[in-house]
Amino acid sequence: MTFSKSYDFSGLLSAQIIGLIEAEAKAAQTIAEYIEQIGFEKTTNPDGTESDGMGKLRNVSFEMERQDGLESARKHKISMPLLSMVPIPSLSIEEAELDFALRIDDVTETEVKTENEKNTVKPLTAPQSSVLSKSFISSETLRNRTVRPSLKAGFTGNAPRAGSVLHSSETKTSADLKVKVKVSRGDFPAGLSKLLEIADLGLKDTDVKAVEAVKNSEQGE
Amino acid sequence: MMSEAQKKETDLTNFRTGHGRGIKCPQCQSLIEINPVALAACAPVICGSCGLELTVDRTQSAEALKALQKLVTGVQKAETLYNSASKLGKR
Repeated sequence: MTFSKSYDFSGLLSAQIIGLIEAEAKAAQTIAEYIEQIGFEKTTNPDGTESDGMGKLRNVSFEMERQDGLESARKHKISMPLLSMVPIPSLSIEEAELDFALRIDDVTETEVKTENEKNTVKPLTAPQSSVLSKSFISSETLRNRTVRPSLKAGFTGNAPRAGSVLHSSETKTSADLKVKVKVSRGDFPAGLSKLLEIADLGLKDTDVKAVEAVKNSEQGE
Repeated sequence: MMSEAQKKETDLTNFRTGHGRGIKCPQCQSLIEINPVALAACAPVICGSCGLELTVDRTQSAEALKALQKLVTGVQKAETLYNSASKLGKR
């Protein structure tokens, strides 16, 4: 048995690995888009166009009654980034299992001389193929030599010489691929962690009453 | 050892309850876990340590609440799909 085709095994296997890498890259891209859409709001330039970059952090403002020292409770306002309050789905491929099986059935039939029918079989043309099949089936000599009358390949091109059967080859290829991927929640992105830390440091806690007092005094002047 | 389905359920529960994500209490500095679903509905946030109550300023947080509502709706849709797929898988 000889293989009439060559198979690019490295190509077949590397395609699966490249697929996994691309999947992870797309997942990372989706997480980045999620962070951008949820955590940031686009700002506009004075001319009305959308500014470049991520925009500014989207904040949630809270009001609360808080006691400062010995004073009675006063109304405060605090603003915090929305990103610190929502889960961030940082998923990554933890494990991948590739199960790849390739089955090749290559059957080659070589030229068989039919001595008894040397003068009876005439050169063929394409339309005669069905006639020839019938004549071969009825031929005892060929049956004894166990040559199957499946001569599809031989009849499409040149006609065979009288008294011989053309080489016929048949290749069947079947492949089976199983990919098992285990995805897990990855670590919180370090850059984002840093960003939220900075946002925490810049947290604005405003005493509403004090702000109002400053406003009133400015208006009085 | 937690199964994949259990982990998925925990993730969804964590989203609903806000487990692990939250803000520092402005008064006692302990972590207040935020439930995104409740926050989207403008429910007050209460610190489990000191009892400080934070009320959402709807006007100033309008943009953030809109984005959060969109996220909550998306997660709920995904949850529905996941549940129907799980039911189909059990058949």
